[in-house]
Amino acid sequence: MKKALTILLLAASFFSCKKTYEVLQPDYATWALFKNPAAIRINTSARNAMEGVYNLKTGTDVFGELVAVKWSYAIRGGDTSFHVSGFFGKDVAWFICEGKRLGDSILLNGYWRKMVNVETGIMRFVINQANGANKILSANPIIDSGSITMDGVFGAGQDEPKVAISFTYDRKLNKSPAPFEILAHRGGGRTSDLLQVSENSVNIILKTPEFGSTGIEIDVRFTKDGVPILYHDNDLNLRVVQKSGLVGPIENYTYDQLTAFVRLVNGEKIPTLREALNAVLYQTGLTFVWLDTKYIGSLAPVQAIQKEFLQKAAAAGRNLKIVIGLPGKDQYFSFLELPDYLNTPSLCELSIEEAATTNSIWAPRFTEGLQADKVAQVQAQGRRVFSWTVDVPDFVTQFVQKGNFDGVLSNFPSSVAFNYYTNE
Amino acid sequence: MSKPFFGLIIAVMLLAATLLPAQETIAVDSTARPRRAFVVHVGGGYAHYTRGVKVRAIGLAGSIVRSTVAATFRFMWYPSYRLRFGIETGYTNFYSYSVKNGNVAGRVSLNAIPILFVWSMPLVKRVNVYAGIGTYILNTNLEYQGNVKSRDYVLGSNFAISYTVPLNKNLGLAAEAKYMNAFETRDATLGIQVQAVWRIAKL
Repeated sequence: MKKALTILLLAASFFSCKKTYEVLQPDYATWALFKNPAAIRINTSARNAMEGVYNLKTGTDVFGELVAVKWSYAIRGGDTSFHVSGFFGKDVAWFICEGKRLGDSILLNGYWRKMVNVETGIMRFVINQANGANKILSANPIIDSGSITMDGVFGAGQDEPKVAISFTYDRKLNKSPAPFEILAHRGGGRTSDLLQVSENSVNIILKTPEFGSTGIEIDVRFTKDGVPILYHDNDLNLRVVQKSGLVGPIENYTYDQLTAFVRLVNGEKIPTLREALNAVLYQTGLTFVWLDTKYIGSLAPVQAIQKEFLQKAAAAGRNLKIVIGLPGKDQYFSFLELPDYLNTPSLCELSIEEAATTNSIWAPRFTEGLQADKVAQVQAQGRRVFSWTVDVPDFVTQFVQKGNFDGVLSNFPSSVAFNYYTNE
Repeated sequence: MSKPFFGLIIAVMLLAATLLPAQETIAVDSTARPRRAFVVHVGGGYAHYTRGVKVRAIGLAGSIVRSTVAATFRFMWYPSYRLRFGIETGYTNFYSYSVKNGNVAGRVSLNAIPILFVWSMPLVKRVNVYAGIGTYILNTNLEYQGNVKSRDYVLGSNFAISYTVPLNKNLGLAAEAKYMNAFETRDATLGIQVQAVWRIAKL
């Protein structure tokens, strides 16, 4: 009988459910004051004035001591939406709010999230006249330490926010003399991080500026009929797509077949590379795109699209950089076969010598350490150095604040943004 | 490490874990007949797809077909003690559906071939339980602007309970309820089968 029970228990274990996590973005559109018809959009000058590093006065136990506040925009459906984000130093927490001006006050309404777990909730702020709104809304804002205080409340989940949080302006956001790239992995983050948008989708590209990203890394593969698309894995699987009955390598299917049958986990269709680059160029302020080539074959089609969009960016007056990633030897040798490869912007994950051969940005894996000497050597040759994929908060701090990299790739760009903007 | 290889390793480890202590603690069941033999189970029947599936295909025509046929081929070693083991394969369709996208019609079906290590033991007279783990070979058949046959290998398990009626000394007829679970892709069927149980060698 004992053995029978053992067998039954073993069998039961086969059916036991894997715990599934979910994060429901709080519906914050319930604040009557924010819906007041008299509340209007905040202008560019005021948005810029609010950006900075703030000291938390309350809420430190949940969010830490500092927050870096920055605005971003994205164009959706022809309408430009602005969001103010706050990047906290504890638990990779952030808030994203919409902002409005109501009379002499500024209202911020949105939600917060911690990326180390599934905690989230509504967050709201009011900056009244005495707390700095008069300075922010003036024609020529001059913001000093202590001149802005954001008083707010936050809550858990969909609960009405009641816990106090406030922070006071301390200083401007750090800005290094050379441009520093805050690069978001897979277009903005992994599907598994429950961001309500899927990795390698147009939606996450439009979302990632709210996480502080200045650029993105996206994964390029080709369909059976030669259409370059964004997709990370070798095969269609539930980590990335919903059930459709289609399994196996994505290269087995044509683009029309994938479009007709397959949806990403959050319902988006798999975008083409052109759709993704169009979104970057015409719908965001992102300045850097890393095309991670996940396939083995000629890089000529990707080079042609890269060239086309760099020309479009120049025509639009955008300082957009698009580089072809070389993650392995196969892509490296394919790249060397390209015409004019030395003048084709690229990023090489291999050795420092191979990166020099291809005239690439050098991108060593973070596990190789800060490599100060090698980084300096590459930079002395006029090329940049990025590190990937740095996620652990302590490592992010180390690589951003102690390293000499020109950019860091992370699944948590808000963490990179916090460490970069608060660095003194 | 590839998924099928990983599944194979797990199954072999379970198999080893089953064998080693069993050899040291043999408790011969006087009701177990025959004492040692190779036994083949062959059968088929009806299965129903039990997991959720919300297809977002453009122009979904009709509903998703969840009812299907399933088949089993199982090769077992009946040792002198109650815990038996062997390998199992077979077939089950998971689901299929059709689309009508403008003038373009199409059809998708997903089926699976399990390759599992299975363990079994009698619970009471004529009633056996089975549990298996291993790999499911998933096969997509897509007809939409061309035909595509695509394959993937995923981890899975099964669980079954059967009632066997002996027909003669070496042959029996079994009714078996079976849950086939490709857990890695959250695909599963629950079905009932009729099987011939044939003792092919007695040692």
